[in-house]
Amino acid sequence: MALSMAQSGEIKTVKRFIGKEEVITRLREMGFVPGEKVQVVGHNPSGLILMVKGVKLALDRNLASRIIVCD
Amino acid sequence: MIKVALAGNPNCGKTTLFNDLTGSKQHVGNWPGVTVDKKEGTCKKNKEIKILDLPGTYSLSPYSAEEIVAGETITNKNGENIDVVLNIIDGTSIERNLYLTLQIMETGIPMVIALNMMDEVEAQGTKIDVDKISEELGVTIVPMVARSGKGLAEVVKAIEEVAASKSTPKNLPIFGEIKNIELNAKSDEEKEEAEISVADIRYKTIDDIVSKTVKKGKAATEVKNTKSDKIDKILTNRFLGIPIFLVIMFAMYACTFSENFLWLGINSPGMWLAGVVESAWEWVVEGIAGLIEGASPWIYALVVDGILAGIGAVLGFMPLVLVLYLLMSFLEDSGYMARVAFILDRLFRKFGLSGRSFIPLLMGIGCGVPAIMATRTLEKEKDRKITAIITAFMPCGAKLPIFAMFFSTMFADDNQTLLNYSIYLVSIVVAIVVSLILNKLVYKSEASNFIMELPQYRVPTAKSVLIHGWEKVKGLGKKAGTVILFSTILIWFLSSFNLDSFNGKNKEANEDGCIMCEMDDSFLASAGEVIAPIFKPLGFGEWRPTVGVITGWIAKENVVVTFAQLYEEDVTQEYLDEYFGAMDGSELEELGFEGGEYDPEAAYDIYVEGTLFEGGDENALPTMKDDIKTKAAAYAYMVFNLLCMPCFAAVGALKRELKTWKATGFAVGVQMLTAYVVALLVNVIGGLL
Ligand SMILES: Nc1nc2c(ncn2[C@@H]2O[C@H](COP(=O)(O)OP(=O)(O)OP(=O)(O)O)[C@@H](O)[C@H]2O)c(=O)[nH]1
Ligand SMILES: [Mg+2]
Repeated sequence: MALSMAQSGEIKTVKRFIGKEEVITRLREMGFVPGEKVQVVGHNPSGLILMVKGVKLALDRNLASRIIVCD
Repeated sequence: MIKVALAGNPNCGKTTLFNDLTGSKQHVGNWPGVTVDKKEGTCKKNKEIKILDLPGTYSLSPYSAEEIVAGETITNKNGENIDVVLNIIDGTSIERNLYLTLQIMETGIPMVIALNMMDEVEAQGTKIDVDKISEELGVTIVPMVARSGKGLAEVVKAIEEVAASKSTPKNLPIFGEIKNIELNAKSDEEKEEAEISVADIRYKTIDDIVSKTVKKGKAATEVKNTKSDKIDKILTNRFLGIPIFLVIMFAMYACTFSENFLWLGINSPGMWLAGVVESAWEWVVEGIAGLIEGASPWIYALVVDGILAGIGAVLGFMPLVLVLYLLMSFLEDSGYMARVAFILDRLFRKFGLSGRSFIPLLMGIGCGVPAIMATRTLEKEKDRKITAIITAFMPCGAKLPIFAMFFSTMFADDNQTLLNYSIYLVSIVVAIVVSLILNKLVYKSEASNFIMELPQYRVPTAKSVLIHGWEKVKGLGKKAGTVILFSTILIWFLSSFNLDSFNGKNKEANEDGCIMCEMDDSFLASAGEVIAPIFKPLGFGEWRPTVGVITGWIAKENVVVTFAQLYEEDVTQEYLDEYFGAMDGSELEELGFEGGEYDPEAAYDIYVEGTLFEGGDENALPTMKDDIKTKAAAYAYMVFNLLCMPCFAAVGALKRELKTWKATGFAVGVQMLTAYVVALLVNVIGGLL
């Protein structure tokens, strides 16, 4: 499923990405590597707040929908 | 000489450490992307060490424009010839920070690691085995707290040692592996695969090291329970986020401008301070005027009517600017900026901007120059360009005196607080409309992505807020003593002399042999008259307001400086009441009051016509109201100065960001056209009301 669908509080595991532009590379460098656990801290009309590698990040919804995760 | 570059993730404390080491006062703020350019300084403890502060970056392959400088400097591609890289790591997010560390190690440059934010690491209860990591990486690691200066001496010592021994980091086995993978990838497909596995390998190595050396404290693992998480629940709440933001902005302006602070019937701190400074200044002026009483008339004119009037006009408004700056630096240090950028992202997209544009726009309320530079952190070129153009519409600190001057004269009877807000509203609405138009007509629309780290909330230290404030005061003082003083003298000269001053004609004509001329015949008047007709439709097509606009391009404070020099101080109703109150019926009748009855409404005209010009002072200048007659014209004048070309310093910043003169010319053209159209609308529609 897409990360954007995850509920607040859920912890998901990163599987892969849709697309391959620079922003995806950047996501990887910021810790979104396959197998990594991502926690959804909150939702906002702008997007999601996530916890990755102990860092809090805000992503817009479209970008989050391109991160495919599993449980 | 040892040249050291500060490298690290955004917001890990590089500039704080740079300031510690060099004693400089570069901008520190609690959001990623504060520093956008390199900056060199000399280490206080060892003058042989030159230090280069860099923008933060997450990796050596750049993503946004400011990261390019960081990457190129660290890999020694831009001729900076770095000897040692001082890699700063935020101890609270050590895994993510080590990614860049591995990349720097791969380049094989001598390096030292400063493990920063140890106070927060301890507060989380996290234990880091520094010696063990140091051994794994083959790099000296110094734990430290940049904010309080703890560990500074050790950092300097470590740099000296590494520079002397030229020892390079350990060549980890994965470095060879990564090189192989990268070399073997040929097609685009393979390159992408390679990239995925390289990121993967680096993070595996990091996980390996961290699992052996870091014991996470409770606060670091239990998300949603830290203070920051609780605050975020409210401030980024889907319903409350934007209303809270608006309240905070409102409160900020109330503290600065309100004349009825918190509905208590008292002045806000800003207004109160402005009053104090004004009285103090009056006292100074009287003192100086008394001292040079006997000097020759032109010296008196230069000092009192020129320099003192000019500088005083600016000085009185400084406290407002200062209070605004202090509040802004509080906001910048708190960690809230990144949140606002995020919660506004969706709204800003509708205007064709991105949430990140918020940061330059807010900074623009302080000063346009750093604000325009801050657009560099935006991801897409289109966003950068549009944001740079509209940032110039913000009512920066230097424009505030213009509004305050008109509010206290032309709009003295209206609600001052509302008037102040109206200016902010105009600038925001115009910024949005122009952005929408540019998006439609000029730039190819590219959807931008929003990724931003949300830093921990931090209580701003009194020290850092006060340093911010003091730096601003110093900056403004310097500006007043240089650019504004120079402009003041220039305006005085150009408005007091003409060609006949230097060919003896004035000397003959004037009874006292003075070579100065009537202001209406001066150089400045002749030049202003040429341009003034352009502004006729806007309601202020006279030479004096025109000169105000033009000198405003040197520095926006010059608008009030010009007015202070070219106009008689405005007569207030109170003054009129007092002035005529002392007269009896027959005197009043003689002056033109019907039936000898004092009429407050007619007092102004009678004063100006009867007293100022015919009766008494023959050197009297017109007042502002003689040139800018209606409120509509006054508001149009303010709006024109708000929106038209910013000061030359800001145009320089625009040129740096937009690269070419052509693009800069286009930006200035857009600003001029916008200013003209909006001011015209204000004057025409306002005139109908
Ligand atoms: N608690 C704590 N806060 C720190 C420390 N060092 C820096 N800070 C805070 O961290 C924030 C970021 O500091 P900066 O020095 O601007 O960080 P930077 O790395 O230059 O950031 P960019 O220029 O955006 O890349 C500020 O709010 C600092 O006050 C520290 O040792 N402890
Ligand atoms: Mg910095």
